[in-house]
Amino acid sequence: MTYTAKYPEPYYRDMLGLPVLMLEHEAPEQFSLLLQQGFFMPVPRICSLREFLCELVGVCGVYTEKSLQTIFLDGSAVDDIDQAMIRPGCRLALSAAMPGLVGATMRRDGFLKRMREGISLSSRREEGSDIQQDASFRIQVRLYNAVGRDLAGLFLHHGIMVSSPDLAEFFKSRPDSFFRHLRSIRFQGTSLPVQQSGLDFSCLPQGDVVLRLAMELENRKQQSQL
Amino acid sequence: MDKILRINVGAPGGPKATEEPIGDYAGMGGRGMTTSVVYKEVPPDCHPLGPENKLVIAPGLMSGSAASSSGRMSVGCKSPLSGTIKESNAGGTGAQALARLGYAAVILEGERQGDDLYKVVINDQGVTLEKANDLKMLANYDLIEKLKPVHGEKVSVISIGTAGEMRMSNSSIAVTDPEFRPTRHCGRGGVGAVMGSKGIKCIVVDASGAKTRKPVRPDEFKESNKKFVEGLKGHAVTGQGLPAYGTNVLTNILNEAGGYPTYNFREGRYKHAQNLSGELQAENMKNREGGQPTHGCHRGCIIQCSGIYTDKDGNYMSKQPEYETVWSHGGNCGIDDLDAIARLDYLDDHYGLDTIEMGVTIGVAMEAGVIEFGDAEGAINLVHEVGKGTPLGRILGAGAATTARCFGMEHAPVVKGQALPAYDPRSVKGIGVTYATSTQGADHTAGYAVTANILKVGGDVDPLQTGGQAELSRNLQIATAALDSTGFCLFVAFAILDQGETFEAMVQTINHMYGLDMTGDDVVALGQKILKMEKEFNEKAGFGPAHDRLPRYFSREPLAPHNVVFDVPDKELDSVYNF
Repeated sequence: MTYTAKYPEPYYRDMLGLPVLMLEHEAPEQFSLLLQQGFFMPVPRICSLREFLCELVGVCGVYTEKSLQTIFLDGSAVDDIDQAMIRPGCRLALSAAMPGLVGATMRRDGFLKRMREGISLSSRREEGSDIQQDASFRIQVRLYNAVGRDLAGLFLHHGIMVSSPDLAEFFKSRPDSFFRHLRSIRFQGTSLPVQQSGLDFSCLPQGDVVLRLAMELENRKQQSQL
Repeated sequence: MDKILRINVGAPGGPKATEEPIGDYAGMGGRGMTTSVVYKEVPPDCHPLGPENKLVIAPGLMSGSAASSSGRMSVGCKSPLSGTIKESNAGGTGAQALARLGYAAVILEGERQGDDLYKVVINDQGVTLEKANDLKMLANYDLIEKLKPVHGEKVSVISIGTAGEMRMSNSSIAVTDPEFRPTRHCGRGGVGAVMGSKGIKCIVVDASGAKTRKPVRPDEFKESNKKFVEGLKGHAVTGQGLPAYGTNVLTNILNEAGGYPTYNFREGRYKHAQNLSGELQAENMKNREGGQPTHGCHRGCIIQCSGIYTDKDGNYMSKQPEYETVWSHGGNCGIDDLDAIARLDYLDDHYGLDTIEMGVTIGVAMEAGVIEFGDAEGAINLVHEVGKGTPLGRILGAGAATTARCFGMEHAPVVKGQALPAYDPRSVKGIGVTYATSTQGADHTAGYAVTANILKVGGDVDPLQTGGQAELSRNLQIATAALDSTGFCLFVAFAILDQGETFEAMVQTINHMYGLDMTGDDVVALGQKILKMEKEFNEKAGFGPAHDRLPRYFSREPLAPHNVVFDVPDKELDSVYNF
């Protein structure tokens, strides 16, 4: 099932003050290998996983219930996204339904969940559940398999925080077809050449940057599908 | 499928083939057939490589028909690796070819006379046996190249590589795929050694003169098979996930769960797992010339979880390595190079080795200091040593348990002598129960079919109840034993788990093929019957509750990152066979 809802406004315009690399790319799903490696997202407050997905990112409804079949929070399998809490520094992984007995075992609230009860979130002690967190914080997110493909556009539209070396390595490993879909690339408002050989990331700082996709192209495509 | 072919390799004057009606084995296919024959005809206390053991090759009940994804072929015997009864199955084209020619089983039996090696040729005209000493010590890909000018590329070949000829406890039986490559393997348990002990190098099956098997109720069969196909295509796993990424899509998930055995089961998460992921593997195959991420291992498969893996220059490297292969040679050995793993996969297929057993054995050898963790070239060289039968190769080719014994190590991740697959039982304890109690030795597919909740095997199970790992494992093992008999790929289980109408369509497809009115209860009864035969065989072979255990260190050494141990009580393990 492909995610087809119209993209909402990015929930965080200022990504913790980091420099922004803005791309226009016609095929956001081609970023899915970057998304499986892990990236960071800002979160304004401690909230449930459902609130994070639906209210902040915009992943709601049928897609959440039918397609997000395998979820891990800090390595623990999640069954109830209302109970799972997004806290500072946590690691969230989202995946589609998986094959094999273990795939079925890991499935959200699946029939075989007892087989992995030792690593289920519900069986593990929630540490620091009473911590109050007023300041925003960041979490690590990994999007796997079909979920990475489906939600690439949405997450990139909001903007993801990645390290400059990882980003440079990702672009370096892209095939030519990736660059045929790249319409423009700007860093802090300054245009960079779009040819692969011409991509020069020497202007990027050594730390993290925000990668964001301008979604005018994508929103137009989605509107034509609806 | 109403006849059985017996090849007596000890007959005076050379091996002799005889055909007989299916008789008492009627209604059995795949694992049901192999287990029934071994249970009835093989003395449980015999030596696996001795004359009393038999090798049984059986297509599934639905193989050779137009039923989708029904090309699994089972091989059974007493295992040289585990000493237990063994059933090992593979896809490829062999099951369909044998079934279309009417064979419900091919049984290799008797005592080999002399050192001559034989080739069996089966077609619609009958069976011929030829001396084939020119094929001696040919590895599988070389063997296929040598057979091609003689038999063409339309036949199916069931063969052993050099490991099987050397009767190594880790040796497989290869089956050719639609491209006539020896890529599909009955891998587990050393079945290739039993074929080697009978002096049979290969079985060439030419079904070009045979037609697809006709159902008893053709119109109804067509209708139910159509619904079955629609169910497979419409399901997220069988219709989307597996065709797009193959089974290796599991790498990221098991790693995330902290259940990805790393460095010979020392850790549960591999820091370079992203370099081994199914997502990256699929992209490699998509972007490289000649690569194919979506491919069926036999004609008529709807799921198409297989693939063709090429190098950066477009040269064929191997079939798409399965999740278990990528893990065993990858994270388990600290190797994060998919191309190196594809090379190891190719060599395993070439020499005729089980990829799980070989990878785990290399992991044990790495911990022993033979080579360093992460040494891909060293791992490749070790597989060559096995394939060539050097003294070190002979040790490694005997499997992980023997290798650990030779190097004086406790850390041998095995049950009943067979290496654990790619899921750490400390994280996924229900899998650990199956590893410990399976009649086959540590086997992830023994409890693979997830149909238990539909079949209601052994009664309803409350998913909210805590504990009960044994109960779930029992139900899964029963359901799997039944599914292994049909010839349907185990992956159909995911669609029939979620979609009751797809399960119904599958049962009706079987019913219309044979003119039966089978119900879910009959399926359960078949699974129970198979497991009871296997359990009884093992008990007579000397296996008891003490063998239904994981190695002690899984209960003693916590696994990072969750720091969990395997703590399912022995009493619960012993209750698995209470049915």
